[in-house]
Amino acid sequence: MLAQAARRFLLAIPTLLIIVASVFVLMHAAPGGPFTKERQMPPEIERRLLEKYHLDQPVGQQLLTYIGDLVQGDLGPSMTYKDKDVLDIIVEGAPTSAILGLSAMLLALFIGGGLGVMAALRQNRAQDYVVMALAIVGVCLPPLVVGPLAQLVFGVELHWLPTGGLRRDEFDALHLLLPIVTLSLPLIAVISRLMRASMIETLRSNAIRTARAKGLPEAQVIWRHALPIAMLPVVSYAGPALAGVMAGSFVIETVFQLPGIGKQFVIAATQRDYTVVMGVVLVYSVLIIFFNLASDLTYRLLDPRTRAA
Amino acid sequence: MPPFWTSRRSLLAGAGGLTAAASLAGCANSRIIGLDKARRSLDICNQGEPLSLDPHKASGTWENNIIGNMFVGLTTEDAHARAVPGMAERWETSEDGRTWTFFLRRAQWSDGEACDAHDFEFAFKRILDPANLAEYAAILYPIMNAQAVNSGQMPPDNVGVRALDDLTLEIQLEHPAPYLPQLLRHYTAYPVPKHKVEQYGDDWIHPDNVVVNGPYILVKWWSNYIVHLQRNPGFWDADSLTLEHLYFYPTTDVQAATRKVLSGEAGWSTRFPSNQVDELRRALPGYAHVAPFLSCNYFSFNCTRPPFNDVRVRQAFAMAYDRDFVAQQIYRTGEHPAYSFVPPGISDYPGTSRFAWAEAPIAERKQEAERLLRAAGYGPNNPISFEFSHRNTSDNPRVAVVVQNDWRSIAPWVTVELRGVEAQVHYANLRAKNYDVGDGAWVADFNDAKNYLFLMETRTGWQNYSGYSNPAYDQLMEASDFEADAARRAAIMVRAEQIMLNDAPICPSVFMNSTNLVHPDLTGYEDNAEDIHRARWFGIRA
Amino acid sequence: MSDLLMEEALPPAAARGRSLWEDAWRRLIRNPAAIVSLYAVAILTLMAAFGPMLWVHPYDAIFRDKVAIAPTLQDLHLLGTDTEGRDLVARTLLGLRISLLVGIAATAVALTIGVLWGAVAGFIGGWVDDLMMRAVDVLYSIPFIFFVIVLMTVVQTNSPIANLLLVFMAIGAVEWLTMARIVRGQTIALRQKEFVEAARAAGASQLQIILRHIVPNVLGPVVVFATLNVPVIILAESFLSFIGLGVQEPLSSLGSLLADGTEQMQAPWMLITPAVMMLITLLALNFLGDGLRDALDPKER
Repeated sequence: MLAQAARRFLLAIPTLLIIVASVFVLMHAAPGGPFTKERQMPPEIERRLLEKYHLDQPVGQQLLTYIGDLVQGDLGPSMTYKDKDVLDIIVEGAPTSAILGLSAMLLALFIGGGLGVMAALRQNRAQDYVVMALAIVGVCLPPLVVGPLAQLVFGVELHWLPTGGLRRDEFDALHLLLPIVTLSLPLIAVISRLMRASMIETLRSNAIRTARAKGLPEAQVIWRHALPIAMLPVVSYAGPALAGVMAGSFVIETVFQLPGIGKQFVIAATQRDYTVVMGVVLVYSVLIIFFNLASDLTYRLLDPRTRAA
Repeated sequence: MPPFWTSRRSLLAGAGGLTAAASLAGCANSRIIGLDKARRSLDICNQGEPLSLDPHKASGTWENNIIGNMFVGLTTEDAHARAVPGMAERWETSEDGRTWTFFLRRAQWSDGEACDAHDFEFAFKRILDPANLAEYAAILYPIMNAQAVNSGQMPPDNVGVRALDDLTLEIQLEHPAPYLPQLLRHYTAYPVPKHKVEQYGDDWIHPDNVVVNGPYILVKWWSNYIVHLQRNPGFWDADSLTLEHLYFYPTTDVQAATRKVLSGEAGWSTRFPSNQVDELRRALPGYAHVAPFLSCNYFSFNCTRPPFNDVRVRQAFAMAYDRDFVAQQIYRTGEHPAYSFVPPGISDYPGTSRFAWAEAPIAERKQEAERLLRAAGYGPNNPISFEFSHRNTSDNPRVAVVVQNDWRSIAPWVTVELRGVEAQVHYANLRAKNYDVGDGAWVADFNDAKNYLFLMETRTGWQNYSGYSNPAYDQLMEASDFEADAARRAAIMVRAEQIMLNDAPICPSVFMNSTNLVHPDLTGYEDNAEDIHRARWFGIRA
Repeated sequence: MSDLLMEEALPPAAARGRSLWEDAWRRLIRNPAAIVSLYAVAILTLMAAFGPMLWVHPYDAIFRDKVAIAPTLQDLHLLGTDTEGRDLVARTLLGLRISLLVGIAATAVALTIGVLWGAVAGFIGGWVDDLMMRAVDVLYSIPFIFFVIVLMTVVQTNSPIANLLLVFMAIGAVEWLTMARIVRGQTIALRQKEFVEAARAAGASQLQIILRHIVPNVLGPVVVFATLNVPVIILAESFLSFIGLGVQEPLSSLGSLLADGTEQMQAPWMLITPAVMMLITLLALNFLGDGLRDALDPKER
């Protein structure tokens, strides 16, 4: 298993390089640049700006320069935020997105997993239908509707919770509650459906029939024997999904005014802040590769077939 | 930039982030109070994230909202945004109006160093030095040699700004500019601390290094979340300041900003959605402020290629557009339809130029438009078809819908397709003249008609988006530069504007209003045409 | 970046010829939720196809004296008008049409590429498989939004609706990754089967085997995926509308109506109508997908 992990890590380097190269080229193919604005700047200044950020060179050469700097650990300066480097921006934004994503995923695993198991155990009964209907509604309601509505109801009308995501310059559980819940709703929906399907299948398997035949108590059969196997599809879903939510959600971060990298990415993309975009893409790709690996390893740990081997 | 593992600042920032994360659990006192009378703090929803807080690198009104509380120029704004003495206590003008001498007050930077004429001289030379890449320096071109220095043809020492002694500053101009006091309160003319800039270079604006000469000092700047300013006890008028803390949030989502005010978590939002004004007046009595704003939304016709190289076609479409409907129904806060380009409220400008057909009812104008188009050779057998490019942000798509509807209704053989694109793409297209009709907006940098009319001058370059070029107009505009008498100068510009309107290179749409939500207990907030409100004048009603 | 793509565990379809489909159909019509959804999808499709033509108001007519009015019987503005004074029934019908169109267009492209890619990778195996699947990994990490920005500007036709469809077909071209993974897994299981061996012994080429024998046998999970993917694309379009990159005026989609509606708290009818419409559409498609999955699952027999 260690050898497998090591091989995957080695493969990650060329994968990252290809991602960097393709996003870089794609980004430069989009029209407009970081300095095309409504207001004119003097031609001399524009020339010097383009020169400073190497934008006067062919894209291929810019890419080589960028990769050269990257190898030395230099993500470069932001092209639109004059006083900040890309690293400052990511370091300031990533913790918020990470906390938000991680909490939302944990919440979704507990609630979604629990609901899924419950629905499976009561298959084709009222509880099952209610849970599944709620899950589908959860998938169907986009956060861009849920977020503003939650703010209006809990923040403006009821005055229970703050409408913003942070308490001036500190993190605060109460302030983060609405964004976390809003972000976790679609996750809960997907996880509960996955959990239900896989639990139903597991309960029919020979291993579980044998366990029951041995006369083990039902609770033990479900929690000790069935659950680890039934978790497998959830685990392989949760890995990449966690990378996705930890890299930030534009809608949630905009609506709840949070300083995350998801919002930063979309703003940078529309302003053509090439270096910031590359920085966030790198964070995202590293997260994807890491969590894919982590979820594969967890899969092996949980799966009795591979555990035995 | 060195690799990140050797960069102390990044590591510190990272550690700070983690500490903040660790403090997640401990939090008893819950809600933020937007206008906290006990703490004397104000939470402000600003339109966007500042691209820079260095006055030489800033370029947006939302940056001005913050920076203007940190620095004071030679002149500054009072609560009504009129130009009043700032660092300069008084000034004298030479006979020819080209040499201005400013007499400065004794003042100091927040670290106790003197802030004097040498800092101003240093600042003007720094912003005009092309090596410093200031994007907004062109606004200072009336200063002697500024343009030559800024385009790299002269060394920075040639800029016509000189400290005669510690407290006397002389500014020489290329041509008389009676609006100089208006111009000098702009952030491009703020002083910067020579000693700090020489020590830290461009990092001088970092919260750890920054010093200010204005009422508030930068304490913390968390990217895309908050800028925290605190009262500067070293400011000469610090005793009169009421507010201790200012928190600016870059609330790009105007709906979210409104909800933040509704829930009491912000005491001031620098805008609100205009079509919710009635609802907001009901829910938040006394909060909504609407005031005329020095801003004109307009559409540029691409005069460099058919069909809009024909003045009849341009006039036809300019007159067939129902701007009254847009002003009243698309915007709901009493905006004014624009039948000229320079907004009402510009100082020292009568603004009497108008489209000749401005008074005619829209139905009549549409008939006249059809007649003009037929005269230009279009008709059922030679239909006219073009694209209207617009930015896909805020209310622009909504206006575009009306434009398309109006223009199509001239005649069945008129086809208009909408093309909504990102702002960045839009301006790239406009700049390359790769468009037929494109929308745009102009907000005044300083309160003078020239700040609008220069856009249509041939010498302006690609920012003259319509590609309009009329020697008569150019001549008048040039002549206005050398007219020292304000009234005669205004008369020349009125004539120029009328010539331009007759040629209709643009279709003015609406003169915008500024919209603010302000806590009624915040005193010293005065509506004004420039929408500039400095916290220095704010107080709290008990 | 966290547009969630549902990656559900899909059942393996057994290769059982025609009877599989007959059995599946019989199981499907015994599932009331699926049948209701099937009717709902059919009605929605008819509404989308003919509604905009049949309704009394065109979607882009501006009623200048009736801006943002609440639902009323007068002049048949049954769902009110929007902030530009356009009839909301007409706009909702058009929105439904465009949302379904982009969903179907993107899904069709995703299916074609995904099925072929997965089948080829799974069938040939070895280093080809490895290479093709690494390519999928790379594509997973490329931000979707850049594709959209580039495509929106590169794709220029004279008709706005053709533009939008092309863009979404292109989005389909990057959304096939999940499909490819599913099909690959199925193919690996199938390629050992007797009928494939028989075809090979009969001298069929690899391409022939893939197209004639592998692809038809993985259609079960593919159908399920397709029904579940249309809602995902509709949601993706609503996200794009939120940031201004989706459907452009004067056209509408359920997503753009929804995004506009959330901005009008003083006029709840502008939010409720598209929200309910969206919910019905997505619920129907999801239930239908679930029903199909249960019906096609051989273990259910």
